[in-house]
Amino acid sequence: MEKIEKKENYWETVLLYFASFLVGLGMIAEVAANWQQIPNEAKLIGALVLMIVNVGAIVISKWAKKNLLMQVFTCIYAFLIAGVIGLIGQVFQLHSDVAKGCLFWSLISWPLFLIVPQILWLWIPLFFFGVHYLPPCLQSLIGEGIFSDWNSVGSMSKLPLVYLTISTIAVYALFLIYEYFVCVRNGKNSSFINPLKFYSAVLMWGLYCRASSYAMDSTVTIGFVREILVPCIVVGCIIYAVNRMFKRESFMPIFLLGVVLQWSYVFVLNDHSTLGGLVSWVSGIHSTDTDGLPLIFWLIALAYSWYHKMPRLQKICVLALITWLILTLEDNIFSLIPCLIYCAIIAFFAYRQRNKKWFNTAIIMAVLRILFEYADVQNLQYFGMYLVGSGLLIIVTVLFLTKYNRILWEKKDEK
Amino acid sequence: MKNKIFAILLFVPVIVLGAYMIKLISMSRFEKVEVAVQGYDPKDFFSGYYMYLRPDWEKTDCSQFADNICPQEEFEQTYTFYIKREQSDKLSAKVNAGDVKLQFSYSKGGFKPLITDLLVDGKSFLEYLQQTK
Repeated sequence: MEKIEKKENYWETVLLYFASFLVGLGMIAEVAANWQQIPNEAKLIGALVLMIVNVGAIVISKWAKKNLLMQVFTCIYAFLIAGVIGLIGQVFQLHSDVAKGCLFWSLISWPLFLIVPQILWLWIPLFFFGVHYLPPCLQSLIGEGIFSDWNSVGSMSKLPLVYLTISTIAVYALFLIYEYFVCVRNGKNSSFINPLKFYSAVLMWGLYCRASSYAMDSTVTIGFVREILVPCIVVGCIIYAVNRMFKRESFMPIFLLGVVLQWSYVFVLNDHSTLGGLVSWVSGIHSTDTDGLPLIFWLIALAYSWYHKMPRLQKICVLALITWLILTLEDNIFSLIPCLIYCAIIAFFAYRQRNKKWFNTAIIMAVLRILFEYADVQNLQYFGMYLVGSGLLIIVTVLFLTKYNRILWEKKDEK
Repeated sequence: MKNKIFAILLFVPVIVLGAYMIKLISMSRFEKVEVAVQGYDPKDFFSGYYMYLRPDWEKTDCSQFADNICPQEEFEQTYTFYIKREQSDKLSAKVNAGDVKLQFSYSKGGFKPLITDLLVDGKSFLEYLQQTK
């Protein structure tokens, strides 16, 4: 019984996080829309008031022991902080640098992951991306020589190792602090953290973020593949081998797959020869070239999880594939109706088989598909409103389903 | 006690960002100076919601600075100015003609100059856009 409760909470949590992500992105889009008709002072005061209200909502929801709601408000707060940083940059015409913004965000929003540990998964990549900005700052303090080749591809062999080592130790220390807080909160003794697991996770994140930062301004070359992909493959294989040796389930190969596939795909796309043409043709079944990437990735991940008997990952893959199927279809009414019918059929059979998870999935997929129908909003201001509205709609739907499901399934159980 | 720590932790971003806003507001009240600017890259100085501008020291009136010398090293080589896409389209001719200036809040106390406005023909760009509607 306890297991069923846990699974339901997991389902709700994932969707509510997704919804808070939409609300947060919507707020950032509203900031980016640059409301010049509102005086700057009003914008700044309004932002601070909104932050205080958000803090109030978190405190009240914690006080009322509404844990899920508290997590949603904290997640929205994390995005709101990012939005306010953007707003300050806009109002005072500060130089725009995403990495600098990320670093600033991670430095001031660290208390949030002590409160809601899941935020760590947002915090770590942004921190790593932000740390990328540190070398130019240190350059002015320490000297030109050490960091001069930071941004060149050839520097991968030297500095990033220092960078990864230092940042890994830093993040590992944070994990220990986090573990300590969780144990204190739950009234337990601090448990042993597997250093290899966290070290490997952090290392992969570091490489992934480092690789992603290249995607923004570099052309993919053979040298790039050699310096990014090969270390990723080597590190991933070592981690995989060690995990298998200790018969430990590991998500590392999935990270590895993500990195390798992403960069192989980008590399192949850049190559306009037969291979590039073939990939374009395969992914051309859907609207853009990059649409094919998640399909390939999730199919391989599904095969991997099936081979290694990882049921949780299997479900995530199936869910991701359905999401992909629904979201990449053309956004017109003729594809909307079959999708809704498809969702209705899943919901019907799920109800008959008493499968709450798939019933809820079908309802949420229908809501997402309807939202996607109206996603093509050109104006940034309206798009921000659309995102906030969508997020709120999903939150309401999830809360409604949670309440309604209890009545629905309880009646069925009584029969 | 735990609840208090919880609330204090949540207020950390509010306090930091509030203090940062106060610092920037006080910096924006320094003496105003005007620096002539030109498009950073004539082919594409408008990129999305930013406008890339580079100070043009030859066209700048250096008498507004101490000893009639333009302190070029205190300014950045390029600046970005946040502007809506439709507005940037209307201003492109003026930027091309070199008729725009950036207004800075400037102090010699070691603070970085802070952009306060974009001036087109001596007026704020918002005022200019309203007049040319």
